[in-house]
Amino acid sequence: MEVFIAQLISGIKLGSLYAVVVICYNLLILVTGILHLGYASLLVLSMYAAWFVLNATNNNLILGISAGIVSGIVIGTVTAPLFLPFIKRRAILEALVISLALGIISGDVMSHWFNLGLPIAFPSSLQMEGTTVASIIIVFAFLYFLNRTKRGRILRAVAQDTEVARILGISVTKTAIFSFALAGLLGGLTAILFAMSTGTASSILGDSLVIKALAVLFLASIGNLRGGLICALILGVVESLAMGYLPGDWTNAIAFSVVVVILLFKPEGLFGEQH
Amino acid sequence: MEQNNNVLTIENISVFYGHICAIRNVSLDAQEGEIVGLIGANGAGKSTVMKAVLGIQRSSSGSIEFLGKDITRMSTERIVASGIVYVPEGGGVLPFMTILENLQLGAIHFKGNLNDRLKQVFERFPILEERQHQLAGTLSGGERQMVAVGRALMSAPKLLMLDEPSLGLGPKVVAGVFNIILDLQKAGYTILLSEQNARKTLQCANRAYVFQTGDIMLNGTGRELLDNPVVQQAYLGG
Repeated sequence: MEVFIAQLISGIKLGSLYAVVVICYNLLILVTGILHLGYASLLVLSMYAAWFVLNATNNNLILGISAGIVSGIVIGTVTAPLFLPFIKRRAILEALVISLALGIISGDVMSHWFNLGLPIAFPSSLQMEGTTVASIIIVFAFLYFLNRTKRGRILRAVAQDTEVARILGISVTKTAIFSFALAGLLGGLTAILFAMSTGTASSILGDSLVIKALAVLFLASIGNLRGGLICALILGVVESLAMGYLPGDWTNAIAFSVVVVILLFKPEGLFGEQH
Repeated sequence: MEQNNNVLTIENISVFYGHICAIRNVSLDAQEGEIVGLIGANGAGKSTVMKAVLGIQRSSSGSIEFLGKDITRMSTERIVASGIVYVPEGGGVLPFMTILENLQLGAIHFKGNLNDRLKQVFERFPILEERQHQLAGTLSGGERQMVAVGRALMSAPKLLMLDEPSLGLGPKVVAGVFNIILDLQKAGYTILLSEQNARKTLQCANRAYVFQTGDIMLNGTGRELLDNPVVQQAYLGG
């Protein structure tokens, strides 16, 4: 029973981190139509940025955390123009390839150039409790922004109907860039939370994260914000319980087994609508 | 010296969809406080004119001036910010947002007091205030049209372009729509009105243009066109 409770708490902690990651995927899908396969690797890049600054500043937490967050915004904003031509033409497949390329390139950069390809470790002073609460705050802050602010309404308008949004005088291009920057900001914040929670990162963490994100997205129904949050928590708990009771790392297999079973019975995802 | 009260001046614009010419050498204007009707069959080019004014479709030639400023190559964002509002066919309300949110989106570029504008729109359409937290997708066709017009008024536009506001609506609701249009004119709005309902349009318009396969066939005052035998034959069942 103790093991179960410990793994459950650990699962909720993990799930809450996944929830923020999945929010970013859904944000980009809803506003730009792009499933950003490289997003998780770019998030890990922010972890590396934080690690660099921590090393350079004798573990100054404020500077390190700021570097993680700022690098997320910069990465998001700088990579946005790569996708714009494809967003305008609604060339979703080509945009998918671009996103995959970004993920592969950033993963290779991390594995070849940084720390001789070895995993990085964050100082113990960064490892603190509270990542679950922080994740929940981020999620609620994002939902508040989306539902209660002018900029959030603009994002939702573009997500619902780009033609109507244009007619209302909304620049779809500027909104797309903003969504990448926002996803970058959230990614930077999540990078810090992952660093606080796990204490370590490596170039392959992005590959692992994108698999988890895809599992949640397909389980919930791509683009479903509420469903994504719930399924992220479910995945976190299932993974954590698996790690507690099964030998070896079966987390990816379990995640996708659950996805396959659900999709066989409900092809539109748990929270999707039948067409 | 004759004063130019033109809010909108379109000179010789042509718009192509690929190789297909949607409108050809179209010239028209709208003066302050007028209702200018664009009538013609489906596909005659009426909506294309409005979309060209808004910058959603680009004209390959000619010029469009709004309040003396050339807006031919301006972005849609800047055109809307300068005071032109377009209500598309069907209204274009966002179904998964509430009535209030749809109205708020109409004022993205509005610099004044948003609550005052909201109050004025609610005074004109009290039912929107009652149901402001209802999702727009749950409304009837006529109610959506009301939301669309209300949203258009939120930015206090200098030119209001209404594209087929009566399309798909029952006769009683259509009468209500045209009453709203006349009411808006009394309140000082300049309105460009595209309609297939030729009779009602010519009855309320100061002037109108008759479109046929991308060209302007006839133009004149509403009264003149109502009495025109060609118009009567083609559009009024006469």
